[in-house]
Amino acid sequence: MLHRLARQCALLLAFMALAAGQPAFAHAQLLSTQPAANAVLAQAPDELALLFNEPVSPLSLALVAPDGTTTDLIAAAIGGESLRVSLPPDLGQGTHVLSWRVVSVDAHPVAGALVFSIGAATGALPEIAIASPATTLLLWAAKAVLFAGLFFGLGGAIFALVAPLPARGRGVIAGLAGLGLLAAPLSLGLHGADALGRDPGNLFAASSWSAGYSTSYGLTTLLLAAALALGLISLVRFRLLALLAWPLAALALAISGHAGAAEPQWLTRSAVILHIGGILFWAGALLPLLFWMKSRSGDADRALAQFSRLVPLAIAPILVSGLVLGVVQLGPPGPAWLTPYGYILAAKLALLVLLFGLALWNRFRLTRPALGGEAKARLLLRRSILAEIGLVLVIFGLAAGWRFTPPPRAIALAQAAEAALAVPAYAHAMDDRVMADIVVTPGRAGPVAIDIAVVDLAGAPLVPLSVDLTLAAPARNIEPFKVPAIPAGGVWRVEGQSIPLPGLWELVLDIRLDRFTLARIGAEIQIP
Amino acid sequence: MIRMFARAALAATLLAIPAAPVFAHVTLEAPEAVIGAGYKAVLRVPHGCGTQATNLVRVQIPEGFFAVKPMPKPGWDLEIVTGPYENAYDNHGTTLTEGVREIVWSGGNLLNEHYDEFVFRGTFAAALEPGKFFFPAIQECAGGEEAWIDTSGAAEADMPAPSVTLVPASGGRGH
Repeated sequence: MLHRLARQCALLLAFMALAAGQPAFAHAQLLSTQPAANAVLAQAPDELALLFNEPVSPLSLALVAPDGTTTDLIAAAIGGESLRVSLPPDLGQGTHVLSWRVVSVDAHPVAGALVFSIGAATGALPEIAIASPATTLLLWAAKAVLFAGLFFGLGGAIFALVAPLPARGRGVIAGLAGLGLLAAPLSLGLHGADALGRDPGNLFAASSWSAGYSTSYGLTTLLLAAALALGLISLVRFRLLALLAWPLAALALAISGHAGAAEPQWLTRSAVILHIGGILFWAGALLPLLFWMKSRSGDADRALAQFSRLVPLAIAPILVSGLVLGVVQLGPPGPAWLTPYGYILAAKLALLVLLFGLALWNRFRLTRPALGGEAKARLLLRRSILAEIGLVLVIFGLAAGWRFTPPPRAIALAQAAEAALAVPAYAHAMDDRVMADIVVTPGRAGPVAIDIAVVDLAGAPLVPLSVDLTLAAPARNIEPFKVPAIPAGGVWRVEGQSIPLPGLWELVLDIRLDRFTLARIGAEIQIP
Repeated sequence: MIRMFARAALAATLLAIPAAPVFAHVTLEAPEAVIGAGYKAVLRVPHGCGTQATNLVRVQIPEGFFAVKPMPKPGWDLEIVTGPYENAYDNHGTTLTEGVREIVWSGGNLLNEHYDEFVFRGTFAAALEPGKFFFPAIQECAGGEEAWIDTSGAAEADMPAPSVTLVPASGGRGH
């Protein structure tokens, strides 16, 4: 109220001065601002100051937030040679714009906009959260335990579908499934903390869990826990429940992780399901067989014979699906293979060759004599199975390491997405004397470089004395603000400017063609 | 009550605006000139560059304003830049094909707090169309310049070039 009255009085005074024919009043000129234009501040300031060459009264003052919302600050402003504007508390991170319009005693309104950022400019590439090494290590360990519970615990329960389980082994297998069941939710919280770049102390923060659950790994964990619980129950009663847990676990691992995310998903997800399903049976059989090989019995022989008969049905899908996934993830041979992902795959393949070697030796050289009751063969088979378990554990460790190494396919996609964001936005402006091509790089809100190429109507380059660019977003209530361009290798460039908000921006170029000639051309540009 | 008075006064003065020149700009004193007639241009400089004193005033003489003579000014050096006209003009029976294209008053010191006028005269060609005729002008100060060269005629122009509105000669009065 008081301000409005003051403004009206200022206007009145100004017009009275005009009416009296009293000359020599100048336009208000903005001399400086506090903070400076395009400043990036660590913390939100309490107030902004605009310093003019003469006293001014505010006509309108609006603060446009990074999300585009506008706050009227006219009541928070004190006029004078230095116009001070108190800012509301709790200004968010990102680029803000103070859009201002003032009047000085000459009654000529002067408008402008002050762009400043808190924390970082909106649209600036977010800093990638650096995961705490402790969290990463714990996550890896939790996943390794989860995998062990899954493949040896649930796998054992699955093997129990076709063969008898040794009495002592049953307890170990159930224990592993139980450990996996505990590790599943733990890994979810660690997954969230890792994604947020937090240390393990934040494991008990609800946000870590919700962050973990919000990823595709959330559903995976739920399904894995369900599968493990079913497996655990099946070891005690209702053996057939393992038949339900088997595809459930395979499906769970297919819906998260790099492999299931690759295109075409129908292919990769089916491949993952086959891959995991096969491994569950094969790896699951190792522990029971290890226990059976300790002493000879009819059940032990039956178990070994069943395994020997059925394991080719598991190996074939593992090999075929593994091949499909490797091809999809790595792409054609090239430098992409020489990434951490490629190294892990190579190590895994080397171990698999070893594992298959042992398995073949078991199958064709040891199984028959062992079934025949040869003590040496049974001992060798036992050692061989122990070695296989060790190899499988190392392979799980490697597979768990893939969580931390995006495959070349994903790296290429990320680079393409980054490149797509960096695509410039273009505008063309002309009148009957001069044309300009305006290129905003990257073509999005945030810090940009604006290149202006000035040519005549025939397309021949012009050498103007100066080029000023004025930006305004009337739809966003952002008053025009002028920034000078500087010559840079044949074009005129505006650097260090932030385009605070996406949307339609009006661009006006003031091109000083020669001392007395000013060309003003305008264009609109859509900033996505 | 005060507000009502203020509003009424505001309204009243707003009505008076179109007639009142804007003194913030570098302007010409006589707002109108007759096509084909002589014109005494009084260039009014109301302030410096920001807060700096003006040391030089430069005016461009566009095509169509011929037979130009600037008025010397004590304390200022006067320089004229001549060049060919695009068209030939008849000046009292003499055909003019070249003349003054630019006038420069230099070496002066017009404080921001002061006001001054710079005078030249000439003739508007009979072939000119009615409408605004611009005399782009530049103030130069120690640390910069104010370029009054915007000839767009836009009402919201920040720094419009000084202009005069040309009107047709009444009754075909010859000169």
